[in-house]
Amino acid sequence: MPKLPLQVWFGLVLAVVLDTAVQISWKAAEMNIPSSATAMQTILATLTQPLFYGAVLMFVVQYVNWMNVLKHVDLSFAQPITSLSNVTILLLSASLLHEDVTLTRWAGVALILAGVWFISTTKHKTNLDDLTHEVEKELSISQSRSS
Amino acid sequence: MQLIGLLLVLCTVALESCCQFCFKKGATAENGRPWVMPAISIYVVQVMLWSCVLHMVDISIAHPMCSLSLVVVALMSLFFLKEKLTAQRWMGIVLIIGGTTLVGLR
Repeated sequence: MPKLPLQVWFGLVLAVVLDTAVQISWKAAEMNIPSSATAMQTILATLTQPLFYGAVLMFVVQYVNWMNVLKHVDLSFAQPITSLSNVTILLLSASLLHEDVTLTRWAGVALILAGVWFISTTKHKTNLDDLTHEVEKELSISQSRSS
Repeated sequence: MQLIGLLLVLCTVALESCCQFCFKKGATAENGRPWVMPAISIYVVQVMLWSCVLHMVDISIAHPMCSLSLVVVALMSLFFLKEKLTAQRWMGIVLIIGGTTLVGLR
């Protein structure tokens, strides 16, 4: 674990909390709309839901917070941490929204979290052009040394 | 209803990936400005799409499935941005696809 200022940890926790809150309240807003509604009716009805605007507001706060977090830590560190919102969302969807969260879903989320961790912790900047550039730089250094 | 919902989740994932791609282009291309408007308009479509998704599917299915966008972004950067994929990244891709399939099953 890298040593991080308390403010950054707070930002990361806030990111998970806000992501969870956005999704849960958005879903709660959609649950108020009759299931017979067509796609167009759903979109229009969403715009009349106070919970949806709550979600939008939190999304804006989330955006500011996220930019602030990324100023201090790499995306490769922040990304796996925020994917933990999958866990909080499953917990709240079961307790607050009474969704039937099966063992299969939990297993799937476990695999996804492992996958996100694998993808995020690899070295970055693997663009081939960058690599070629590095090699060329090395070559010119060794050439200038030998001449 | 459920199946259409899952298909819509996949559409959102595709759009999300295009959005990320535009942002990356916008941030790194010499003249990045033309990439910003498409990214923003995709966002608006995504909000409408996601409303429909949440109307049809459990959030405990829809949200975990969104991690698929990491897979699409990784593959897009392989093909279009010439980024290299390490063995570890491939492993991550396989795990996320496996996990998403489990979540989507039921």
